[in-house]
Amino acid sequence: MTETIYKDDSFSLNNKISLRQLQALLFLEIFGFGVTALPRRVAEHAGQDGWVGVLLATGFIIIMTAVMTHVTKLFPQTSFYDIVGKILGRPLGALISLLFCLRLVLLAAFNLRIFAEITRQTMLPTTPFAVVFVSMLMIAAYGAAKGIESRARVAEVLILVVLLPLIFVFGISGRDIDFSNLMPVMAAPFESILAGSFSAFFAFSGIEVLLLVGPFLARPKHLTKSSTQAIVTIGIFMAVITAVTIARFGPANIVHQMWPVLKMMDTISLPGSIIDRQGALIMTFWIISAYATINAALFFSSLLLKDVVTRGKHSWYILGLIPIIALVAHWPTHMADVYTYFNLANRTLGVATMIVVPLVLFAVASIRRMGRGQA
Amino acid sequence: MNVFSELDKNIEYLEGLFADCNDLVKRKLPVGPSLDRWIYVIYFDGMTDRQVLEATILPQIMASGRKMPENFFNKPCSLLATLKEGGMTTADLREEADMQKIINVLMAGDTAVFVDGAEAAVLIATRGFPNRGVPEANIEVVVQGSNEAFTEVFRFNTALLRRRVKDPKLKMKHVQVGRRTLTDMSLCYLDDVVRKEVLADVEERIKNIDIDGILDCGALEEFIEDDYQSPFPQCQITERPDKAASAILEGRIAILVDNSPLALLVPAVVDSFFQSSEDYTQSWNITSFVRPLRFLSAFFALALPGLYIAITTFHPNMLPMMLTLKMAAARESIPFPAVLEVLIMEFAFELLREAGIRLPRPVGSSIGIIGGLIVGEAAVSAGIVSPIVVIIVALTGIASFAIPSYSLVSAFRLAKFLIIALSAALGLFGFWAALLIMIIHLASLKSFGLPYLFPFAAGDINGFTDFKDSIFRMPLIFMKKRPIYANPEQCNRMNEGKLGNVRQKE
Amino acid sequence: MGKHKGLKFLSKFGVVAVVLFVLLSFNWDRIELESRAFVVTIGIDVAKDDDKPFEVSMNISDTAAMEQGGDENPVVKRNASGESLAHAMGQVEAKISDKIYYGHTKAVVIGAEVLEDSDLLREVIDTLSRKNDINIKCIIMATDKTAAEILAAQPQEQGLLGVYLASFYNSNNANTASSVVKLDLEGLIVSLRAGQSAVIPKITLEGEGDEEEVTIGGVAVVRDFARVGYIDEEDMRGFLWLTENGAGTQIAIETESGHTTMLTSKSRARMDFYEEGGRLHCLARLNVEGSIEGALFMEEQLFDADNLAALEERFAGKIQGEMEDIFRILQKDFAVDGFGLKEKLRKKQWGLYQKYEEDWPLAYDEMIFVARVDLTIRNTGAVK
Repeated sequence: MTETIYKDDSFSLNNKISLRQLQALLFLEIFGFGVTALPRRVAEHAGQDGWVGVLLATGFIIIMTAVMTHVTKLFPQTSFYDIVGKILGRPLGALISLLFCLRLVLLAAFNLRIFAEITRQTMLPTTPFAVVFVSMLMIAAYGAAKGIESRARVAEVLILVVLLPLIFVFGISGRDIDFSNLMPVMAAPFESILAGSFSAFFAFSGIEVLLLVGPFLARPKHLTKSSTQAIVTIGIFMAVITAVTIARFGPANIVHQMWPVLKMMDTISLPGSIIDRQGALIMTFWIISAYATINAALFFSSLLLKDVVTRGKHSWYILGLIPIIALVAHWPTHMADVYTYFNLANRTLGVATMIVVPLVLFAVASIRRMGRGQA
Repeated sequence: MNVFSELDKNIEYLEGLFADCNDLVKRKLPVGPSLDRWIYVIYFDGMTDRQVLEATILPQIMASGRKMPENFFNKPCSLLATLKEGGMTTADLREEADMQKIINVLMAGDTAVFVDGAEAAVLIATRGFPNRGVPEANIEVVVQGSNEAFTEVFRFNTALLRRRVKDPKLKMKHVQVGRRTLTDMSLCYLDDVVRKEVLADVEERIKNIDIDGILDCGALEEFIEDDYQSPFPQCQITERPDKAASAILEGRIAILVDNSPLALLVPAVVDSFFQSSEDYTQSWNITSFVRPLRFLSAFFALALPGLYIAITTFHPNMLPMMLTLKMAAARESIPFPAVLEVLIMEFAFELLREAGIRLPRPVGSSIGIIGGLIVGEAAVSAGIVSPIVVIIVALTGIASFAIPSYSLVSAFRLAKFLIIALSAALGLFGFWAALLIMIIHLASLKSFGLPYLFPFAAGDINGFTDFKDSIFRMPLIFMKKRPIYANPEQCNRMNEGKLGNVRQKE
Repeated sequence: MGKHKGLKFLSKFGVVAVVLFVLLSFNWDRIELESRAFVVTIGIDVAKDDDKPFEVSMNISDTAAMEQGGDENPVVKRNASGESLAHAMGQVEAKISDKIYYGHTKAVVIGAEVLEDSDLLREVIDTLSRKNDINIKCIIMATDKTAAEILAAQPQEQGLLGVYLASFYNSNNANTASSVVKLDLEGLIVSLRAGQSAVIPKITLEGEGDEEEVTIGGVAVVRDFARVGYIDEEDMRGFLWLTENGAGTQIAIETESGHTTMLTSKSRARMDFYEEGGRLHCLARLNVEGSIEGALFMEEQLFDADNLAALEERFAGKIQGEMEDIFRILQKDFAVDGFGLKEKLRKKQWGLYQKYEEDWPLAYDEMIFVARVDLTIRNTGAVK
């Protein structure tokens, strides 16, 4: 009933989001979990110059953002399956959609496992993984089932919940931090900075959803600009946090911290002694980040499945994906395995979805001069 | 069905219909110079203003009916016309031929006069029933500002609004709901400011209700709100005409329901439940101080018991060491786990709250003292609950009273238990899981198409101007635009002009 | 249909309620506050038994006694030995009814014999940093006695040794009273990782029998994860100057007219490196400000501009001497890079670092220390 009454000039459109909401969604989806291990991973390669690697990776991601949003804008209001179908043909469309679906499922499973590991270390040492998995997946599924509009509004609220404590903690962390740890600047060889930036590149996992949001954008005209803004913001935040974290622990010690950002937030001494250790409080940040990433992966992978299968409601597919993600998350026996598998997945599927597919789509669409007019 | 031309048939029909209704007063009386023409007066006792009816209207009917020339009486309809045109000193009367409508109006307190031979009756507005006048507000009390409240009398309520908004554009559209109760309702809105699509939506939703009766606003709210499963109110209920008037000026719709001393304001977003009408009679800086306090108290009312459980039983390292040790020492002899302790105290508090409402007013205040002070003190000294839990529960209760909206607090009272349960099972993770569930739920709500969390979510649809009157209140001169509720063509409420001491700057 | 729908709706809420109750009945990690044993101080010693190398003593806050009133901070003392440190810590748990909780541990005291064995110290550091409960900001202390003895003694005004240490370091009297350095677990890990050496503040007992009191002062010097010796309080003042912890220190000198004491209010040290004659030089520039606290009564000419300059020079000379002494002790006597000079060199002189990194011990041994002190007396007190 409401669909018929509320038109374009009304409060809000059903199943459509604004570009500002897309920015909030992107920020939450990418930033939180990307940054958990980032300082360690770049410092392993580039030492105290790790933050330069993050900036380099951001630059490369900006190019990929432009490529992806260009393809999305060529076919407004079109689902990813249809976009690929139009450019490369139906069979390839189904194949690539399933590839993206697999990638998102693995991303969700990996994030879920990391989240459970962090939770086990900092908050709930004996609670079974299954409990954490199921409760987190249920919440993410609840959010995903409510649809894109509700997801966007949740993101707009959560971004405040995430950013304010983060800025607060990092703002007053100054006196604990020895910035001379960042010296000497640019002393690391260029190859190792490049290697650092390669692993920083995968901190942006999830950027692929820019190819999938087409049907939900009310006015996609400035899509490239606003998603670039979001990416630049994420990149700067990541670089700053990397720099501060390296400065806090020193390049030699940071490689011994599994999740240096977490450790750092936990142990910064706040002025006044209202809170002794804020680690558990800072967990809000990880809970929300894990929620956002898993929620996005569930939502988009269920949509991809629905598009390929062409029947049913997307909430059925979400229900079906929950046990799959939980099982995949449970698969690796310990943390080292988790990162081995994830690196493997990144080097294959990640490269395929974040670089190869967007570039192929872009190239073929440009050669065949497709889009807008004739779409 | 139409009125019969034979008076006796009408009388027969009505007396059959209203058999055993002893509050009905009916009288057949002769008029005309020779007293051979009959009219039939019928009304409900107690619903009419008898003073007016018996002192002015009935004598006039009799007098004018008997004074008329003989030949005038030959045509039956002219008696009706005479009565209507000159027989009574009131402007509020009309001719009605539909029997069902006559009956409906009769039951609302009007008087009907049937005339022998005429296929219509004259309806005289004589509504007047016992009422308590315009009462003082006692739910949403303010210190500075008007303390008038809506009353049960529908007409008074519309008058209270009309007195505040003297604009011909203020429409009061009449609708009737309830097959048996025939409850009158009125949609009050400014014709040019309201969003047409919202108005159409509200009208359609009310029209779709097919029920035997609606007795109050609350029931109506449940029928028209977007998600009836949600504990969160999606329509705002107020007892204050000034609040309703200001909502109407913003482009919202106030729904008045007969016999209800409350008005329903739609659409409503979560922000509107934190606004009190005193916010605009006080200086903006004090309001900007009080508003964040209300949001904070909402958080306390919702989360404090859960947070207490999560921190003390899962993460005691968050608190300073000496405080933790003190709390641990205080808990040393308590036989219950912390969750049970909090739950017992919360239920005791809810019990007190419920009992306080039910008890007669003179006793009501003493239950607060007995329950709160004596029982609490006894429980602590008996070592059943620890003093810190008493503090936590009391703070939660106090915080819930700082929120201006009663219905929002009721929703928080329920949500609080979800947070307690999840916090007790999973610590801070459970706490945040519960909060996330709540945020997702709130974000998925819409009130008549408007996102419920506006302007905290989707604030960009109005260019974020609604933040000027949200967590803080800007000075009124900055709020030149109407909030989101208004039709975009009528979004300006204030023109640039010289304000305050205009000479000072010259 | 309507009835059926309503029942379905109700059952939905029923399921939610049941799930909530089930959740409430599980408690994986829920531990009531009173069932936790808050370990305030941990002492680590070498056990007499050969099979069980570690002996752990703990000071646990006695919340049950606290509730009954009386003693301000009652404490329970427990110890146990085990095959490894983690095992020994677990064995303590067997001796108390409550669940051990390290979230509020304020201090760890490492016994004298543990410091002598590099393997034991390595295990201590690893175990402590692996226990996520333990705050990496907790205070680390070395002792020349056994840790058990320290933990058994009663500190002066506070029942709990850990709390006493924490408040001792929080208030500024650490410097003025006994020129003490502060080291937390994180600092220890960082300095051991960087140069396998560390300077750990020392805690010991003074007095006899009932008069026995804990005192803090001096340091234990650790190289290659084993103690190489102690430095006493007097010599540690130079350490404070060089690590920028000098503010608040009192120094006294003897003048012709008796003693004069200065309280430093600001102390900034800057270390630079340069190469001269094929050897690495370390230049420490110290900027000190202070005020005169006490001199001989009626000696008014003391505060003439000329006299003041002379006084400043003498104070500066004393500080310089202290700095040179400590540098020499660390460099020559112990061969310990206590100031993290290698790291400093890496940060400041990347080129020199690459050159000397290869054979750092030699480079450090041959390093020439140059100290410059710039001292200003800002305030001569309220007496004219």
